[in-house]
Amino acid sequence: MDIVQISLLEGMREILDLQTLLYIFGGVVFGFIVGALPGLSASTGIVLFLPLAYQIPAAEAIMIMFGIYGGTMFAGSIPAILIRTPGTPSAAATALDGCPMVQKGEAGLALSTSAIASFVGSLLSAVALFLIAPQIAKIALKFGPPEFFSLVVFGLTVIAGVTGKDVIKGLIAALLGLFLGTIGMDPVLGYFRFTFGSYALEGGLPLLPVMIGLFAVSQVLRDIEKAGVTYQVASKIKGIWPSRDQLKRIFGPSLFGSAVGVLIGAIPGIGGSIATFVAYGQYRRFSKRGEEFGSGAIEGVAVPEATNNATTGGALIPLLTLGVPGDIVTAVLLGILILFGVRPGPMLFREQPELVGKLFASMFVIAFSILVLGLLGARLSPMILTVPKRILSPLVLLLCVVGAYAVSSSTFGIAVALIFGVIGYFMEKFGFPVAPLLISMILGPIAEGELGRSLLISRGDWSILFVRPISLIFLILAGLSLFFAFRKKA
Amino acid sequence: MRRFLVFALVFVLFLSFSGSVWAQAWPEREVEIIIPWSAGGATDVLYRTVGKYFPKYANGKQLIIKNMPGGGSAVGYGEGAKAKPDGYTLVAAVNPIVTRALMGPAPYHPIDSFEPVCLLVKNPCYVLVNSELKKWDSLSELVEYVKENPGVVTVGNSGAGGGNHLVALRFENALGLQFIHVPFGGGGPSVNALLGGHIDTVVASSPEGFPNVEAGELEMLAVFAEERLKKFPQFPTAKEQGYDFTAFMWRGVVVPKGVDPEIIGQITEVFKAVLEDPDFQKDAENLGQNLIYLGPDEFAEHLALEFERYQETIAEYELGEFYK
Repeated sequence: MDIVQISLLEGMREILDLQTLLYIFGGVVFGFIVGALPGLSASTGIVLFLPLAYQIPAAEAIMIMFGIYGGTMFAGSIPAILIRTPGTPSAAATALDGCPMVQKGEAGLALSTSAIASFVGSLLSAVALFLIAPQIAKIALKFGPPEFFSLVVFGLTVIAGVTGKDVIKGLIAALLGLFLGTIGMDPVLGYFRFTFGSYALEGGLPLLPVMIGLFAVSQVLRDIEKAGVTYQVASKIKGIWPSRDQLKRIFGPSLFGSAVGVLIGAIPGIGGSIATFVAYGQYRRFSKRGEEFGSGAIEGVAVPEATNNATTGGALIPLLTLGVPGDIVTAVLLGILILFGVRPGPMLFREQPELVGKLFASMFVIAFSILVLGLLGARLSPMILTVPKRILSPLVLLLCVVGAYAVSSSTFGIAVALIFGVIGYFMEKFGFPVAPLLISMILGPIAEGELGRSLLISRGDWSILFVRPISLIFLILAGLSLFFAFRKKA
Repeated sequence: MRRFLVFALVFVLFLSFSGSVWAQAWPEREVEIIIPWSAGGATDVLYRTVGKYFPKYANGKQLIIKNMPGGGSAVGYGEGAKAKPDGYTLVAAVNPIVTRALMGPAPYHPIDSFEPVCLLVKNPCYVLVNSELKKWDSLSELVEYVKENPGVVTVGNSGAGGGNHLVALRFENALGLQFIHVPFGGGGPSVNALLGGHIDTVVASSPEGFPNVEAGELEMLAVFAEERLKKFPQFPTAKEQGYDFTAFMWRGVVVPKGVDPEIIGQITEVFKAVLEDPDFQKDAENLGQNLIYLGPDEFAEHLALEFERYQETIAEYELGEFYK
């Protein structure tokens, strides 16, 4: 037992008073609300909380913010499952199997699966943070631009698994996504592309409004289409408790998702949404029930949910051990930690071990809070499905508009959401899957930036992608992954 | 009744004239400040921290943060330029207010669309190297090396056309060097790539990389300021090493053109008071923000000088849309 672990036990004991526990729980509850509202992300939630944070001691305030972070990560899945509106980008993959489960009348089960998987993801990432943070940070540092590029290419091969029945149509959707990803400022040269003089487009198409459009607005349009027809709303919501057999089916994917989430989360600059798609795609490939993915497989909900919650612990690894933020949320956390006089980085563990201990310990409390709140939510939130569609659909649309607006407090986001709603509607109508479009739109720009940086470093020599071992491994994996995907299809 | 009306009239007249007599007439209501970036960035956190102390010196009125990201700050600055010039919409002025307008068409002009109010922060830039992998012990060694081997040494920065990228280009241009500039998606990833040994150096600004410098993982070859950093006095300035080069990331406040100079005066009073608040100074130090106050005239000079400097660099390298 080294000093940090001793401090952890110390910290654990210290946070075991009612007030601190309530603080953390309150943070998770607040995160729930923020995460469930599309358009409000974890970083917004944390910043919203900032004015209150000054009123309480630093350690408690930071634990609350960790709670908000974890809470949002989980809660994004609730609207993703129930109304096909991912509350956060990391919950997009959850909608793929979550919605079909709801249509089968398994809303409660889908939500409790999400809660259990998120709990496993949070817990295991906390354990990883506690036990092997420095080692993971060291691995993460080995990732330079070429390694990122190859990892993202590997991630892109996931598309082969989500193209649906018609591979050609899936690839067309993916290419469209790659093209849409090129809109905005060139990541390496700084030129504007396809912006047509629009300032708002210079930063590229905003991801969340695109997602809200593709998933939620298009769904509303489909519901309107059926407005004349009276049809049964998922009448009776079946039980929320998974059977023993179902628990087994949740457990494996959760372990897998947690491992992927911690590793990808720890690599700065990659982020939760990519991790969820990579984990989803890879698990699907090796799962015996791979064929059921996309039509409401319980594993299809468990994998991305465990993954996105594990990325929270993962992302905290470089933040706390190196002082390097990996994504927007951790960048916000870094700014605020510093404001409270806490300097994340290599010195933190030596200078303030009790604080680190408290933070680690709070991760465990957060995991349990997610489980409790998640199961409670699984019981209550499916009730909104009993609301008739003619009332629910306009409300969903309203939520979409508010969410799309909130991203950048401009009507531009609303326009994007509505346009992509129409695009998503016609895509599904003509059998083009939307998931490949979304995945390649997220991954494309990252791949481009990393390739540009790799070639700058190598002075234009492409072999940099093949001579670096980690990069080569991912490229080989990408090749294998494509080979098997198409052999299966053929 | 008549006497009362006359009295009331006189009283109202008195009030309207005395507005200028009372130093604290502004603000009568909440004040909005446009931040052209998303919530949570370094700029956002700084102004939110200002907002914490603002009511104390501004008749108890709040400073409302309005995040308007997009277009590499063009959207927010465009909105700011269009805002009603009544002194109740302020704009956070950071390096991109100048550089973004020079990189491509923008809906505002950094000098003509705004009235400078005050400068709050000037953060020095510096050159970081990895302590274990470094090939040079001083800036002169680096410069000598690059002169002998042009186009070999990689310099990371936080984004194409962004502040630190342009500072690195200015430095290179001033000394007649040739680097490979590698733009990353933010300061964090560039520091990370340096820690991992994927690039040779990084040009960054306070407080990027501070924790790693403290831990001895990174070192500063040169600080681009007049004086050494208070926090890391062991690292020399570029000037001490014979290169007269300074560069800063600065943060201040501007208002749309047409705001009454008297109101501008009152705004400066409030910000000056916040800057002098010892608690605020402590918060700013924690945030790694180097406070410095410049009034409207000096800030205007500063803006004009920065505009000229960056215009030169961007023209020299034919960066951005105007030279495509």
